[in-house]
Amino acid sequence: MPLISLSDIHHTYSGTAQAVPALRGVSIDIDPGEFVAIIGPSGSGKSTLLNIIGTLEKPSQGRYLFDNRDVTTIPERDLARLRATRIGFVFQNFNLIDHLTVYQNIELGLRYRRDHLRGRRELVMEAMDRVGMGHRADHLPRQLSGGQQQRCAIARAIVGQPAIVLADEPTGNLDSRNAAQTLGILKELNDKGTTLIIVTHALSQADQASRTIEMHDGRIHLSSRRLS
Amino acid sequence: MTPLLSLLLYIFRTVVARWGVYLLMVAGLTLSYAAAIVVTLYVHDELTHDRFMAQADRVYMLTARYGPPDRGLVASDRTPAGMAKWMASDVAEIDQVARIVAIEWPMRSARRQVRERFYWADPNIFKILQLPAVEGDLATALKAPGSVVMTQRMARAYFGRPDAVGLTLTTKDNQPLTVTAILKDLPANTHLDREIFVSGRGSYSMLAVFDLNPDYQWNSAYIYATFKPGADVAAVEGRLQAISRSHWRGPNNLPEGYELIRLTDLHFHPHGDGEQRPRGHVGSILALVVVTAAILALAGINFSGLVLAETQERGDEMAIRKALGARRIDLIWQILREALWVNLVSVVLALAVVERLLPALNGGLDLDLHLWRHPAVFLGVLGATVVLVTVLSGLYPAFAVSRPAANTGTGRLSALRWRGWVVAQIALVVVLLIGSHTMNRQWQYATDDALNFNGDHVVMIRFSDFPNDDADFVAHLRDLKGVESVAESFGSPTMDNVRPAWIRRPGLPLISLTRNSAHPDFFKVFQVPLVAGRHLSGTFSVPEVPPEILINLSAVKALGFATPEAALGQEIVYETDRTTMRSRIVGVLPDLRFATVYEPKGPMIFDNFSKYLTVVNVRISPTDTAGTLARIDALWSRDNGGSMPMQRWFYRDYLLDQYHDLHQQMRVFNLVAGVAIILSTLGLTGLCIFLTRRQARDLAILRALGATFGDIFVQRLTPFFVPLLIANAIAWPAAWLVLRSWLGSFAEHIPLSAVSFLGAAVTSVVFALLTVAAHSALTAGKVSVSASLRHE
Repeated sequence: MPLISLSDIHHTYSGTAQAVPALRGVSIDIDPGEFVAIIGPSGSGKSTLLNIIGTLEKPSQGRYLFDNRDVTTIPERDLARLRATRIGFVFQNFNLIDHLTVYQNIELGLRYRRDHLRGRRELVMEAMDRVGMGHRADHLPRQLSGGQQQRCAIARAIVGQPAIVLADEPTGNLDSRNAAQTLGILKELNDKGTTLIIVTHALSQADQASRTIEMHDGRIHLSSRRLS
Repeated sequence: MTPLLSLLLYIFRTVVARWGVYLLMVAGLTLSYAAAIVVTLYVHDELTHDRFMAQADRVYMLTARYGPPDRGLVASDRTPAGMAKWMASDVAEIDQVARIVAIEWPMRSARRQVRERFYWADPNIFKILQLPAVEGDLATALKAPGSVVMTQRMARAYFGRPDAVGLTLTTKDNQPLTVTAILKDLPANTHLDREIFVSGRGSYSMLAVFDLNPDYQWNSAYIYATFKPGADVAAVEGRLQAISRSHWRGPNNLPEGYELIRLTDLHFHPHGDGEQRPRGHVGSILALVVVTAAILALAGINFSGLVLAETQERGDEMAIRKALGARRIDLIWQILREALWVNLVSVVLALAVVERLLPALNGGLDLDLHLWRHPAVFLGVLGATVVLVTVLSGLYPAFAVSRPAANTGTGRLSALRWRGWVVAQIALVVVLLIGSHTMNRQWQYATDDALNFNGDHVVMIRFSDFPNDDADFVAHLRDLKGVESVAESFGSPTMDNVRPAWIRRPGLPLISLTRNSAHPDFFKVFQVPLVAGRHLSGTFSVPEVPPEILINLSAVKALGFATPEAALGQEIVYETDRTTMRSRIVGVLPDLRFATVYEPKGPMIFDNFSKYLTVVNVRISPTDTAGTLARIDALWSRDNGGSMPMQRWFYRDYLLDQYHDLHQQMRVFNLVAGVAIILSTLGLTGLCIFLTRRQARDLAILRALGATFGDIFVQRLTPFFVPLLIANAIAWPAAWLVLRSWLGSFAEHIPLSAVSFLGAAVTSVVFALLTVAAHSALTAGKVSVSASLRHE
């Protein structure tokens, strides 16, 4: 059974004077443990698709099943719960909160689970260690390099042990060494069973995915699986 | 395209793009400018009392203090009429001295017949009170007996036209009065409360009566004087008591001292018995000025914050301008220019609001405020204020945004700034709320609780000058449907005809008392329960010494009786304005308050001396008030033969008139407090917008991490709690200090209440949280999480 199942998803941005269609009938199934890379030119709809998968946006039309549950009809409160427990996000610009330390930023990934996790500190420390940031717990984001900030963001995404991690151009703001390191961490996560979906412009990164989805003009142009 | 048109188009596009924020800016500034304009007009009105008269600063009014020697008990604006003559003969420094006597007599023309309030006046009165005339010669207008000078308004009322010189009306006994001059209508900010001046030269005038018997009455006339250049007025003042003593031939109780008050200082001079209009209070004016300045400052701070938020929003634009070679001064000037336009638009709107509001305000508060009385000065002051507010509020964001490495939106300092902003706003609101509640409580106390009697549903009717008719009228009143009880009194419970008395005891402090004469039913009309003893047994007129009296609790204490019961049956000997009296105490009353709470309550004597009873007090049934009043009017008309217009008023109206100034202060203060609260709401909304923009990314991150709307809501409310606490911590002692000082201007006042403070704190917290909550609820659905995270 797929973890993610999208059927005929359409999405239109209507905030401006003229409605802009971003997705035009996207259908896709993603199984647990898959590593999917979404590629395509700017404006092709790949970030929109990622946001819909992450429930940050609701599709204008179509059906979206997450773990066999229709998330297009459930209330915002339940979506928030879903994001808190099952989904982790990594963004191109890191999106760390400036006035919180590395430890506090990572702990945020647990705050909204509401399950009073025992050993919260241990989970945070473990996540920090996994990304090699254990020695930077008390630093503020502005005291870190770009690569360190992104590793911190990854730790925040994985601290709650989500079923899926969504990464929107996670290496876009990093130099090649840090980009490789970041991708390595994400790949390692995937190897341990976490479903990983990344949006990227770098074909070299897409090549490492088990499946590549190429988007054009709001539609899936090509979906190809890598032969193992 | 001209540079100006280009600039206007640029501003127009900027405003349209961010209309919500600009709406907040303009609304806040408009409101505060409108409040500032109204308060400025009010303060100007208060500070320019009587200055419409030419050379008002050269005019002095004579006032006196009556009571036991060296201890004036009653301050009075009215002084012995003979003093004018004695001053003219004995004071070489006098330039002019003249009297007016306030009276109410019937007056009749073809159009109007009323019991009119007017002045008998010496012919030279207008040489001192230089009122502006529109017709006739004021120098000679009152020389002939039977001549009358009136305002245009009164001329219209009596004759239907303002140019009434040569026309006649009649007064008591059909005495004809011929109009010899017409005055311009008097402004509201004058101490004069009548608009008709009748020549005192007529043989039937009260001035003529006083000239024949200068010792007849000791508080009869208002006396005004001007002095020759170089005169030492203080020295003259010191000689006046000796002068009056050397001429006085009547019984005792001459004034204990005199004071010459410059006319331009009269409005803020302490209360005087018989004052023609209620006086003002400098402390209240100062408080209003401070609060208004605070409101303008608040508006400026709000505006500053919004400008900062806006310019940060336009950070890209600023960066591009810098990249294109704009100097820092160019950016500063650009922001200041935009701020000036917003201020100008706001001040124009404020003028329109005030223009619309003034008639209602003037009507509601008995004021006569005008926007354009001195247009050049007014516009000059307003222009300077606009520039000042613009510069002070625009300069900070201009400098902050144009800094080479502008970093105004983040960091600890910025957080401190907006918290300081909230603290300032809420602290002011809390002070105003506490002040407003305390003022309203003091008002309630002054007009109700402090009285110790029930003045509701009591009509007071002034007697005519025909004792037989009055006696018939009173007798018939008692049987009238809707009338519950009736009692005559000598002015009580008003402050008219207050009479001092005192008791000297060798080696003991002197006891000062006030004397009141009333029918025994007076206490039934005003529902005063006896503390001890019995009521007066009836009225008497001869001999003058009352055989029995009631005293109040203060008198029991002052006289040294251990209990009210101990005072019963005791005789006391006291000196009065005419003689020494010996009376027996038959009952004890609570401490009734006839004076305002600006004066301390003191020992009182009530006797039943009927000779000079001046009013009849009528308690009427609360049901069918209109019907009962109509029946009273008809009865008066019948018993007085229809010739004497009736003068009646509700005691409650008299009381409100006594507290006219307090009422004005309270209403203006409530208005200003309301404006401050609205302003703070706008400010907090602006702050929410500012914070929402600043925190958009942080909140979006939390949403992405699974925070619900409730989590976000709490996240946004939490930062406000500490500033709210700090604001209250600042506001409480500030309000306590200010209000303690304000309450200190009353001889009797309510204590400061914890309820005021707690209520203000709770209100401020609820109001702040509601504002934040409302904004959160309105904007939560509109924030795109993905967009916030992507665009940062």
